[in-house]
Amino acid sequence: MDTNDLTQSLQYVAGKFREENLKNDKFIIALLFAHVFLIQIFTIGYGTWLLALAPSLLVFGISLLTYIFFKGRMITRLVFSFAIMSFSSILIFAQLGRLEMHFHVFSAMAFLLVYRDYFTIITAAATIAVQHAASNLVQELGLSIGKIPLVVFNYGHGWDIVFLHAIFVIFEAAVLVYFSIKMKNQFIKERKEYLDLKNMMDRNEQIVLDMESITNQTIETIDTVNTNSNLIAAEAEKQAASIEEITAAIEEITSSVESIAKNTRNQSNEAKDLNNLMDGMILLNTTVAEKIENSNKILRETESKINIGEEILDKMSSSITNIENTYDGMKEIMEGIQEIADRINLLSLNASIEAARAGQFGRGFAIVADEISKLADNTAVSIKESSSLLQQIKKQLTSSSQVTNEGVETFSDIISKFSIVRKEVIDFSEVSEKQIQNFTKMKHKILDVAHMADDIQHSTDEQKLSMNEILSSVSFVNENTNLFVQKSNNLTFVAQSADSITSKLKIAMDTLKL
Amino acid sequence: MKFTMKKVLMILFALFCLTFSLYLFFGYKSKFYGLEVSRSIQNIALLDHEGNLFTEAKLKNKNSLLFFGYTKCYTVCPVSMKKLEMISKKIKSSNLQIIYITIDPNRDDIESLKIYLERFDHRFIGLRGTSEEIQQISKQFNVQISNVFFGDKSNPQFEHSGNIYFVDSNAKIKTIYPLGMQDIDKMVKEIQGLIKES
Repeated sequence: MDTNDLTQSLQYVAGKFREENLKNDKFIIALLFAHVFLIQIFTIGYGTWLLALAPSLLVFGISLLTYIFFKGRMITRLVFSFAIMSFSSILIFAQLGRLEMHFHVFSAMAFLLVYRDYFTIITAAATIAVQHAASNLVQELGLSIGKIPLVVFNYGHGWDIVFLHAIFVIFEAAVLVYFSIKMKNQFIKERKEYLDLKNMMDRNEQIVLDMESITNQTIETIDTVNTNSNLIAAEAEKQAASIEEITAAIEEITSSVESIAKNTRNQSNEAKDLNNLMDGMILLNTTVAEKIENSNKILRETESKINIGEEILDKMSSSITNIENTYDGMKEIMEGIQEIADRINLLSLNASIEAARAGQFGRGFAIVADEISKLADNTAVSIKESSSLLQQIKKQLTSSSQVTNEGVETFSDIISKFSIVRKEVIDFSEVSEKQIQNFTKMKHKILDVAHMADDIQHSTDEQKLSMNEILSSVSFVNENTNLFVQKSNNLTFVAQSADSITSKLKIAMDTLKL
Repeated sequence: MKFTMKKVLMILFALFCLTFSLYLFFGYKSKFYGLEVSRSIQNIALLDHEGNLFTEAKLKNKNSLLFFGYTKCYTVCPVSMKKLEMISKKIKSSNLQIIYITIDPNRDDIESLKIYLERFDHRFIGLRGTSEEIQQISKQFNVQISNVFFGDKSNPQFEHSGNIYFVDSNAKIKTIYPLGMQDIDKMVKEIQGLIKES
């Protein structure tokens, strides 16, 4: 503690002591006022009311004036000490020196201890001593104020009694002086301690105020947390419900997606089947086209062959004509051969007549001549047959020529018809090609469809995966939401606990504040 | 210094107290010089210094001045006795008897009472009773008797009231003259008046 603090402390204690003295003065003046009346009660039966009242009022009047003008000062305390001791004397006389009334002296001195000022005790002791001594003297001298005698002692003459009384008074005064000093020191000590405590309390108060403000803030925060956690809990519950709805919806979507995937798969398969079918068709068409091509080729070949046939027919016709022409030459040849054969036959006869003349030698010849004759005969027969054949041939040739001509005509007809057929085939080939093109296009389309179906399937698969992921995420969210609800409930509970703790803290703080 | 209404009233009250006090001291005329009381005395059965029974009947039809003391007392008693003697001499009326009650029956026997009283006035009647009887009667008179002894061991002293009581012919205490209020002239004058009244 530095000098400044010490000065402050001392000033504070002095101030408090003045305050205390003002209070004590008020108390003592009230006590003195009460004495005026109380003493009157003690005069009953003793006839001493006047003797008590006159000095009582005198003493009280002086005391009151002193109090009005000098309260809180030393002079007031001293006058009061004098006054209260005077009341002791008055009281003693009110009951004509009754011994018990002397106790008032000690009580009154004890009352003066409120001042914690040994001067008041000493003054009181001195007052009562002087009054006792003086009254003894006054009594002997028979002095009075006005009509009222100054009587204190009713009995006991002689200084030894005064001393006896004085010893007790001095003894008590000593004790009271001791206590007054002790009490004063204690008061100073207490006040200093109080000042320290007050300073500490001021600091504490600030802390308490700070704490209170913090507590209030905490309470507000807790309230907010509480409200929010309740709201969060409610929202989270709603969210949980929504999540369940979402989950259900996702499950429905997933099942729909699965259904789509299944349908798409079916579609894809069907597209593939269709594609295969198309492939088959294209193949068939290609085969057809090839066949047509072959047919065309064959037709072309056939056409050329037909043309060749026509040429051949033409050649045949001309050949037949040539043969017919040759027939006439052959007939002449036949006829020349017939003549040859006839002459050979005459020669063979002449050779057989001469071989018959040449007898034996001539036999061999005769056989040859015979054979030649036979040969000539056969030849004649063959020529005859050949002529008939030739005639038949000629006949047939004529008919053949007719047939051939008809054949040529037919061929021409065929050729013309064939051209139409070929054209048709070519057209058909074109149509077939177009069909193939169309089939190919269709196939592409189907393939596109199949691809699309595949893509859709992939997409739906991915979608399904995504849905499952979403579903797991949603369930994770749901779990988290439940956890969140739990936590927010915990938070609410914690907030409530915190609220009760802070309430207790607040009460404690209010108590501390008091 | 500010004079508030409260302060002014307090000052006025203080001045009233002082004024009234001064009036009581100087202006008020009391009916009696002594302290005026009115208290009947009963159940007295003591022996006088001649050995005769003294009851309250003997207090009636006669006015009495009463004093409590003891023969070995050398503080209050001799002075009061001397004053009583002087009063007795001034008031010749046969309607007044002066009674001395010993408060020390252990030391004051009837004989010593008689011897003691002979030193003052023939009208003095000494009364003696047992300690209990004395206690009972002193209570009626509010006489204070201390049991604290002081002084010489051969003649121990104790404090007691030095009042002189005027008891009228109805055995009623009328006035008390405590120490300091025992002006003989004033007492004589008042007692004569009181005797005349009764």
